[in-house]
Amino acid sequence: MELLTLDRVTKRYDPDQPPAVDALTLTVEQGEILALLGPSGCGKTTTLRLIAGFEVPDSGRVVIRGATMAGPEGWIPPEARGVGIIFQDYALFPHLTVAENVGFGLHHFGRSARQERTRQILALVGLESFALRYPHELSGGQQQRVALARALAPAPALILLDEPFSNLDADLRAQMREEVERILRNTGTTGIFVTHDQEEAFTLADRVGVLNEGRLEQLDAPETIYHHPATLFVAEFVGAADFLPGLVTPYGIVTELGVFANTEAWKIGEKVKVMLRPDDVTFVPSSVGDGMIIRRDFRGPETLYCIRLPSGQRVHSSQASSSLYPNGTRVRAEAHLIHVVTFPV
Amino acid sequence: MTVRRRWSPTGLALAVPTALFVLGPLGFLVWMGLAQERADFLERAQDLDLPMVVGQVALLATLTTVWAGALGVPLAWLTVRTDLPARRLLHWLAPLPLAIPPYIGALVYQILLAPGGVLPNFLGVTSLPLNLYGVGGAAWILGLFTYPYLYLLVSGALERTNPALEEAARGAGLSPRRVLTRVTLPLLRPSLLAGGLVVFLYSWADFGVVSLLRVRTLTTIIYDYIQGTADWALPSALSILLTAITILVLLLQLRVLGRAGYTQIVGAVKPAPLVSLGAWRWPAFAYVGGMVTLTLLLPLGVLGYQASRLSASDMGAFALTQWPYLVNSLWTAVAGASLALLIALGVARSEGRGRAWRVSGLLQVGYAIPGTVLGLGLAGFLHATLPWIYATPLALIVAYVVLYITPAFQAVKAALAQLHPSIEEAARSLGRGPLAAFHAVTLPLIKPGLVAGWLLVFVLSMRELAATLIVRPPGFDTLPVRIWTHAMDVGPEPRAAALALALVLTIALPWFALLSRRLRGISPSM
Repeated sequence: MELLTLDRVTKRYDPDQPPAVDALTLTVEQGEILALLGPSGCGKTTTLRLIAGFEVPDSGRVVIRGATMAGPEGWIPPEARGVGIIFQDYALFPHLTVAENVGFGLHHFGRSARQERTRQILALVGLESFALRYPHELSGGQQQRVALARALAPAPALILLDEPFSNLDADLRAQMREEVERILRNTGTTGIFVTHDQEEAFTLADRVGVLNEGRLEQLDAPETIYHHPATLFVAEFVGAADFLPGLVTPYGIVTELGVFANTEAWKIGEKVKVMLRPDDVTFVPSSVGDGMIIRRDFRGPETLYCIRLPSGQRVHSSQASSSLYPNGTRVRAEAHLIHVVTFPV
Repeated sequence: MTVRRRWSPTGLALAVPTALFVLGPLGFLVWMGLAQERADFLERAQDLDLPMVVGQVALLATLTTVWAGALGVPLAWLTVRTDLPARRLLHWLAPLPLAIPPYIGALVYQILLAPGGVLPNFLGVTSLPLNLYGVGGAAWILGLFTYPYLYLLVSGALERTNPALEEAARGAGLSPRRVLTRVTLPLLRPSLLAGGLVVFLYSWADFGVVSLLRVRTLTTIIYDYIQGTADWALPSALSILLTAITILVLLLQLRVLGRAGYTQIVGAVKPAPLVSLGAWRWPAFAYVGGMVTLTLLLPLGVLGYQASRLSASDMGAFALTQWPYLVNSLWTAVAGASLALLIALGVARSEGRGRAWRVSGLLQVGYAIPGTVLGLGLAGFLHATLPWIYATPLALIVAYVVLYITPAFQAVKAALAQLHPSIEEAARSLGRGPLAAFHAVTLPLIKPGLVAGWLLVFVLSMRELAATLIVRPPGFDTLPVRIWTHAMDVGPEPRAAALALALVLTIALPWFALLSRRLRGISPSM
């Protein structure tokens, strides 16, 4: 069932500037977790604010559960949308205790119902014993949990998360990511979160929408985004990639690292770029090899090598760190592509 | 919140009348001033010896600023950045002289130094070889009682200075002394300039001190004219001259501060290490202690001593007759502070964030108008357009609002700026409407700032003299008016001292409250 539909939503802040969100169309299913991924300034936060009702779209329509929230017929204010938000800075009310923060959205409940619901939600995020603390007395991870609990308490149809993990340390981030996913899944809550961290988007989301300059470049499952990027922008922004020039011949696409299948039916004689992920490229050290290692980035479990080919083209190869090769090693590089992804030059 | 970018009807309903009361008096003065024939004006300016008067006021303002700087800046550095004994206590005491209005300071030094005063009597002479009545005496007193403006701004800036900048300079090979002159002091430039400006403009537009010390300035000439004649044209023309120079100085400040960015963007600032004074510790303490004595203990002691010379029965009868004036002061100041804060809140909320054109800028013009000028303009404006307000206590309340809407607005603005917009948006997304969200979240969070702003306007209104003298309805005296009239007509005698003590104590209480809230960064008003 469709929970949220954006239909050609456009928002422009400044008439002289290109729109922050440009004719954005997407649908989110009930229970789904969607990530909006993109560089800063791509319009992802504006999209979130348009859904929440903090911005009014210039044109287009926002529909939640079949009811139009913004469109030509009118505009529903944020408080009437039933959309929960977790802000980047959590925006906890500093003058209220944890329990009062969580109970804030339950003002139409009776006193005992409110207390019961607050207790229940705090148990869900594991903060029962912190009910009477004030936000500033909590750690970053605990504050995040309170923000989640507060947003979940009124049982919203949809939860929006604005860069939710960016204020946390790396190890806490992974832990909170897991926990947030578990809670959203267990409560069957639909979630949309924006991030510029592709790893976060990939691990958490069912589908990822990549935004660039206010436009949706691609909306797909994480593995599709990675292996079959629809545009050059997606290929470059999501994961590392090198682009190898190739010529389309009757036998396939001929490149410096071999011939690849012409899966996208390019016309003979056309020049294309073949996308290489670092894990597509392997090499063996060889004194007669025509490639040379010019840079090595040791990253713990894996090591990333930069190899210069005879033409001067550079490609990256990620290898297990079990054996290490110094800079200047002559190698023979090979590319093993399972998915051949090509772009026009 | 972006949703509410447009002006709300409430915001407009608050802003438009306030703007009217700011611009109306100025408009009236310009109109009256223009009615003055030019040849006639020049002739009368000659009679008044106007160039000499302007020069004398400029000298007074300059002397006061230098004196206040000499007092306030070393004090700020000593209490904030050195291991001065009792520095916390002194840091807290240093702004307290602001509770003593300068005209009361003048009264104190009259009691102390004037012929027949406490010190000449003590020494057994009729008069001292120094003359209090003149530019020098006025500058001495204005500097003593306005230096806290400079102190507050400079010490605030010193507290906020990022010590990493000084450490970087040390790392670049500069000696501690060079760091002080090359980094610390240049970083203080905006606060020095702002504080110096407040003091300069205060003494430039002062009426209370100069009238008591018989110094002829533009304000006293304007006041004498209003009292003596029904002629509006000349005082209006002089008022415009006074205001024009004030605004010129303010514009000059904007130019000077225009280019360089002085905001030090940092995360958590750790406090700078204290400079060890070594052998200079106790001399420095004696210097600071002397200042506190001169500006705080001595005035209170002198007022108390002088008031105690009134016999108990006289005192009772006197208190009974003067009681109504305290009540007048209190309720008009309470009304003015409340109204100013409400308007400031309404305007600040309506303006929202990130608007280019702001009504608040217009409202702040009131801050630049000297009290005497505003009094004259407001009286004329109300007389011409709103006679039912003219010569009622309402006119006083309007004057307080116009004069002090700026500090109120700054307090509200500062409180709102601390609040991230997402806080209110969070409340909206949890099902509260705009008003409910404001009430449940914003209001409780900005309350300390609102209270501080209210107290500040209350204190400033309580001590206002120049505009009150002109605008007040006949017979409706406030405490400052009574003190001033007593001191002018009878001299610095015990009754004036008793009233002054009453006023200082009434102001001191909220002023204590204000300072213990660590109100910093809100530039004090004139």
